[in-house]
Amino acid sequence: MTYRCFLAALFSGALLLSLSACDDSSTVGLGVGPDSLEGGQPVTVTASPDTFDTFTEVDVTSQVASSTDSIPSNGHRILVGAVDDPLVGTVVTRGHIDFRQPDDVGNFESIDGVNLVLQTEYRYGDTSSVQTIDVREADTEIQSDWTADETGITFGDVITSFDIAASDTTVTVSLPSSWVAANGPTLFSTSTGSDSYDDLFEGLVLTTQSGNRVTGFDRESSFLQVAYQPAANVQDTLEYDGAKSFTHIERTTTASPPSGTELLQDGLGTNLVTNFDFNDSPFDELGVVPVNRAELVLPIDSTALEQSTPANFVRPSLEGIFLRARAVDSLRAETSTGELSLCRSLGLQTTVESSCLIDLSLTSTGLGAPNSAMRRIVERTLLEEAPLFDRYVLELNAGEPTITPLLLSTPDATNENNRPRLQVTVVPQN
Amino acid sequence: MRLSLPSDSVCWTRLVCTVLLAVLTAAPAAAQSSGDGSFYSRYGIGMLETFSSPQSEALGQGAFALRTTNYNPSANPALWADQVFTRATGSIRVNVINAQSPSGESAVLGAGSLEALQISFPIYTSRLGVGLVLQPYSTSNYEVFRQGTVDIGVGDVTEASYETAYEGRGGLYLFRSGLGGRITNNVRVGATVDVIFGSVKNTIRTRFPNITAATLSPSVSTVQTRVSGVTSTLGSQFSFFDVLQENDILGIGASVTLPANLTGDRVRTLDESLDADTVAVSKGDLSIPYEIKAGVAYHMGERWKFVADGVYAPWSTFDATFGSDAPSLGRFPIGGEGTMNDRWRVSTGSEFIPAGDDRFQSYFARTGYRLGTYVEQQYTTSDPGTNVYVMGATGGLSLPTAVPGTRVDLTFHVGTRGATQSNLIRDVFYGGSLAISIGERWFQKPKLR
Repeated sequence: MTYRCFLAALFSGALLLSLSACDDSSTVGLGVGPDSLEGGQPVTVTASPDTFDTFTEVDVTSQVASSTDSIPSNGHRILVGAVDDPLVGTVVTRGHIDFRQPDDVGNFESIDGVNLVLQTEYRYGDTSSVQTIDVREADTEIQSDWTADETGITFGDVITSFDIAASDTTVTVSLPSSWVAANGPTLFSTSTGSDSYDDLFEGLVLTTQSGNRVTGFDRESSFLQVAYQPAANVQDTLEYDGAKSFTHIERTTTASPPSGTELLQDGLGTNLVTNFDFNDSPFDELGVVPVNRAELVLPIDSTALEQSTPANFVRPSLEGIFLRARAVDSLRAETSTGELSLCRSLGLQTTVESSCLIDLSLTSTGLGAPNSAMRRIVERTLLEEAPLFDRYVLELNAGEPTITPLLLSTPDATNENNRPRLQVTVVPQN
Repeated sequence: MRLSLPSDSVCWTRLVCTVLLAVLTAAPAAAQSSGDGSFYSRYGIGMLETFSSPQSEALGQGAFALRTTNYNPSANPALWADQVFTRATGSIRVNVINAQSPSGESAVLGAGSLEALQISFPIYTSRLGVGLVLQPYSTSNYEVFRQGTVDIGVGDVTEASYETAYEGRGGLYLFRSGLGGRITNNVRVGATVDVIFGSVKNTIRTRFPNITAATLSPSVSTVQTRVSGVTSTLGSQFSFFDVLQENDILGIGASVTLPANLTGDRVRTLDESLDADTVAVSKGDLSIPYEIKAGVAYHMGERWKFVADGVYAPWSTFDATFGSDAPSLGRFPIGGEGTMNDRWRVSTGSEFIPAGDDRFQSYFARTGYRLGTYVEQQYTTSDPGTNVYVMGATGGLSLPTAVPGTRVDLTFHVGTRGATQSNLIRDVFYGGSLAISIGERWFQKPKLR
């Protein structure tokens, strides 16, 4: 019996040994590549866009708080000034700002003065000269849907003017006593109807008087500072925070961009629409293949940018660049939360016009869509053998008004490396 | 007839449970074998497995006409007629391959694998026996690496090194069950039902060792071919006694495995596990040709046995209908039908047991000593139009135990496959196997109590 049990144990052990031996076998490579091995060698293919056009979609540059307690988080910048850029032409901007009356406003014995306090946050143009800005009284209430080219907006005469250097970060403008005497009581109005503060005071308008620069002010940290005496010999101040803003942008002269480039400009709404034909070469020859990398490359003509930049002239960096990929009609199904199923499956955010949002990165040489997003898009497109999106819109829109330009190389660029392209690294299988 | 279990039934119960457990787990485990095999397993349905019995292994992998009561050779079911014992056989093998390419590159590969699990028992002792066999029918376990660089033009990274592994995994299994019976003292016949099933996975796995996955993602593309089908094997054995001298036996045996039509599908996936995306599916058939095995065995007394055998299967008629409606699946078989050749095999072997049937001789006198050799034209080639030949020698020891009918077999093999010429690989292989064949009278009334 013992002997048989020993045999049984040996037999069982041998079986288990055989199984574990199979699992633990080392993965030794031959290191040889007979010609009969097919596929498996990664290649990078490059596709040119079959659409690459600019179009204009002027931005909404106004922001209005929806309630007295809320302050919009975006669009809190106003632009003021005119800049003549050899690359772009001349762009003139005008900023409107309105202020919210504080809740604790009360009676006053006298008004000692009113200051306009502005915080700078954006500069575009000549940094060596002083910019002079006029302050005017607005006579039209800012609407939330005003676009940068809104027409028919009127405003009053110049109240005062102030100078601002490129290095200034905070500007305090003392409004003239005549204006304070005439308008100060309005700031303390607690009436309703036509005598209310909101109806009587529509804010201020900042326009350019001189200087080759556009300056941006942060509405959220700008305010009207009112020094007053609530009672005899008692001094106090009130701050009226910026609550509404609007920037008007107008191009007055146009410069021609170099050949082989397209000029995009925020604020003016010059955007780009592009697309790739996945039914054409080189994609039509790939079949269904694993995609190791996909990168959308949109080169910037940095040479032209440098050569067209005068001394002591600054062009701000782009603040918000993204690609809006619009889903084809058949892939616009939404989830219960309102997202596009397509965007969700690709790990992208849903945005307007049945589109998925792809953030772009900016380097000194160009824009790039991240591999993480583009790889999934290209692999799934090849997998389904049909495009997922019918167009890709490149938008310059940070949510804040800017007039920052972008000079993109086009498919006609003489240098092949400067042409926009979709570079895809795949592993052919056959 | 009253059934009587052995007195040590507990031990047997454990053994049977172990065997059943092994049967249940062996197939999937072995199917996941690593890339440790011949490059030639890339072609056809993988490397064909030829195990019949531990004795056959040592005799040039033939012995199709050699009657025995110590084994249950699966190649010819007619030989199951001679069963005396209820028998369970398990065999494992270790194989080492030194592979060499025409350009002089070489690699040493090695691993163990399951050869077979066999159970057989007599219904009527030495007249009618039943056999059950589970063993690999083919194995695909190659792994070939290709290294190179690809120009990706990403920022400062203009060139990336990559490593692509071409892997073969899995294989087909054969479950054979049947009967072998004695018609007359000279004639034995057998028949089996053979179920062939399994899957072969061909994977191309690409990675970029020096670059993060965020920059260049590794990729996996797999084509899995899953098939199953049923066929049958018919066998016969003719024995002629006292041919050249008294107590000798001349045996002639043959078996024919009928052509099989295996149906199934081919599925291509990208990525692995839960992330796998099925990108193409194609249903189809593949036809496996008939196979003839024939042999001659000569028992010269009780001490010497000589065998000579041959195998033929027209694999050049192999046909597969996969892939016609899904081009991305690629060709099947890999490399096209030009990689399929007719298979033939010739082998010889001899066994010597100094003590013959005398159980009272010394241990080493009761040990069986075996030698064999074979030459084969392989059924696949990596270079259409060029045949791949396999030549090998086998040997082994059959160690007796204190239990009559139970033996432990150690088998050794060495050989070459292919050549170092254009588009061929030369394998020099060697290894051994351990088989335990446990036999005991079971389900039979003991003559003595």
